Amino acid sequence: MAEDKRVFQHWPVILMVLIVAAIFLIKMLTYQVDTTEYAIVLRFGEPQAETVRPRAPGLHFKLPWETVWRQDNRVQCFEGNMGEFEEIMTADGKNIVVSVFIGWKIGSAAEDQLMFMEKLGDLTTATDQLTELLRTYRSGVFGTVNFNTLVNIDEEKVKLDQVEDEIHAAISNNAKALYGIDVEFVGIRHLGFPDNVTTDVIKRMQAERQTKSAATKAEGEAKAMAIRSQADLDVRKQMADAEVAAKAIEAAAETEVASLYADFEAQPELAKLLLRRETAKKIAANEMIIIMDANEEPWIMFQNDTDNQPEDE
Amino acid sequence: MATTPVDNTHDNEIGEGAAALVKTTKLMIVMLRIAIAVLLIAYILSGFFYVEPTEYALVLRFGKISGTAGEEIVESGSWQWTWPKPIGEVVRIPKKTQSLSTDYFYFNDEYLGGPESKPVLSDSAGPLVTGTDGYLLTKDENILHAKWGLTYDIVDPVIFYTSQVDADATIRRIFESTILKRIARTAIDQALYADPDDLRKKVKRDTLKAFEKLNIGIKVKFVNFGESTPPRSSVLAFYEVQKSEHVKQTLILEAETYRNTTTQSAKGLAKRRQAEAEAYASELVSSVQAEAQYFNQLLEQYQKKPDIAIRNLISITRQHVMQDAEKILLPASPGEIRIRLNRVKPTVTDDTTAAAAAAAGSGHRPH
Repeated sequence: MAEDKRVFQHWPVILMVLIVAAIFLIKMLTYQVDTTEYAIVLRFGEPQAETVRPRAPGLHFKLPWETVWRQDNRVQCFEGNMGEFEEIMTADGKNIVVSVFIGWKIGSAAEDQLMFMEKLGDLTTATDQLTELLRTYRSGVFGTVNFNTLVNIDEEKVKLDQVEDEIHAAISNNAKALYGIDVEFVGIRHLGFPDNVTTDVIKRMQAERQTKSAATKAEGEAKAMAIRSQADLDVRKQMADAEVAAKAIEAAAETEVASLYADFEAQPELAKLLLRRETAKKIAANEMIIIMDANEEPWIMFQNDTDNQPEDE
Repeated sequence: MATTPVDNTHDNEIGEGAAALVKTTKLMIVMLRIAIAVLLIAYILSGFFYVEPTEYALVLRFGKISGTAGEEIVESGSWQWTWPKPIGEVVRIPKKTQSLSTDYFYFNDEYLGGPESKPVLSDSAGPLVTGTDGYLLTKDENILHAKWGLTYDIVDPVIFYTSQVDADATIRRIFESTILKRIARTAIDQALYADPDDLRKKVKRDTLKAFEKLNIGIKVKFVNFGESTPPRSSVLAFYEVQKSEHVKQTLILEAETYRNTTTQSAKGLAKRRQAEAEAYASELVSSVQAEAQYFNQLLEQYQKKPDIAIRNLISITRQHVMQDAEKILLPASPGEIRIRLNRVKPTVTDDTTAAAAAAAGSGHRPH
């Protein structure tokens, strides 16, 4: 009893030993699989079936001499380990520089994971092989399309999506068959010209701008001239319409006046005299010089008496 | 019998040493107990964590996300406890709107004095260096430099965490690819001047579609179309077009002003012409009516004594005409009389006009 009590007095030491032993045993006899990874248990390098050594996330049992191979199961994105930008000749002989990225992950099927582990093993080897596939099919697909399917005034003729799909399909088939890799997406990140060609493109842009500048000015002048001409035409039409309306008013007045002149027919001589009188008054309203004979009325009144004597007197 | 003296000094020393050892061991055991207790408490306490209101949190237990499907996300703004590592682990994912900007399609401005410096404007076109100077190709095969931005929310933290190794890199590349494809369907003038906001909306629409298809747990909120420019060496040429555009607008504006002025003026003239016609008509009718009335008044007198009536009429008319005569000089003997009527007197406005008139008079003799 006393001995048991003495042993129990050393429980901290015992606990420490037990904890260390537990950690050591857990480490040796279990393996943990994260949600974001695939894990395959190997016994002397031989993969164990999933039914024996589960690959689902969580804590699982294994034997001490078994090892665990792990890889991330999420999508990884990259443009290739080398040759990110590559000069390619299109089907119509134009040199372009492109950069394409892919998003890939290890296939979710058990055989994909095994294939990846056996053929590639690690991330570096995987990206090296994917780079080769990417470069091969990138050049292959871009080499079969014309430049005007990459950029085009007619939007319907731009086939960049199809180019991506073709590269995707080509890489995907091979990556799956060869390495158990799923290629989730492919995208074009850069589409341009070789460096020395960009100089020519920029010069062409300058020339186009100069042409456009001149055309814009000419267009402005033409439009302005058209507006002015139309304005002149409108004014003439307006004035012509006004003249027609005015003439109509005047004609109406003259018609009315003609009926009034019927009264004058009672004594035409007097009427003529009155008309002459009116005409004379209107003419005399202007600046003028009248030349008259001094012997006419009323000036005769200012002549000498002898001159004023009637001839018969 | 003689007794042999025994040396107890050594035994005493051993006894004291053993006692000290026992004492030390006991002390160490006590300290070890305390240390174990402290470590255990610290380990347990280290499992407490606070989830900020601005973040999502997932708890992993032995690497597996804990919680049933749809309930994996720990409540934000609360204290929680989970087993510390290596049993448990907390993954924090931002709830705040995320933003990224890309200058992948912009020229390298580092050698120009940094991003704040203005582009060097020159007509001499130098090559753009692939990998250093980014750019986009427009549908009219022009080069466009542009900066873009994207803001998004993480709407499904589980998918976001479990789908991508480097979500930022994926989002960035998908966004850039979407921009590239949209610009390949856009003219440079449209991107720069005509309707940049329309382009921005189209890129946003494309980006939304791309991320919906990809399903990585984010939702695009806003796309920003930042700085955009043609290549530095063609900027001056682009400015020229803009200047020409201003000239064009000015010419059109002037023409429209001319049109408005002349049209208004013509309207006035037309109204005046109508008013003149109406005045003429009114005057004519009134005048003839007056004459008719006058005629009827004279008619009776004329029918009685026609000669007197005629002479009377002529006399009255002459009086009327000559009442404004300036001066009438009668010749001494019978001859011509000249009568100036209604002389228009010249008006002198100022000295200059007078001098000019004088000069004109001295320089030109009337014919």
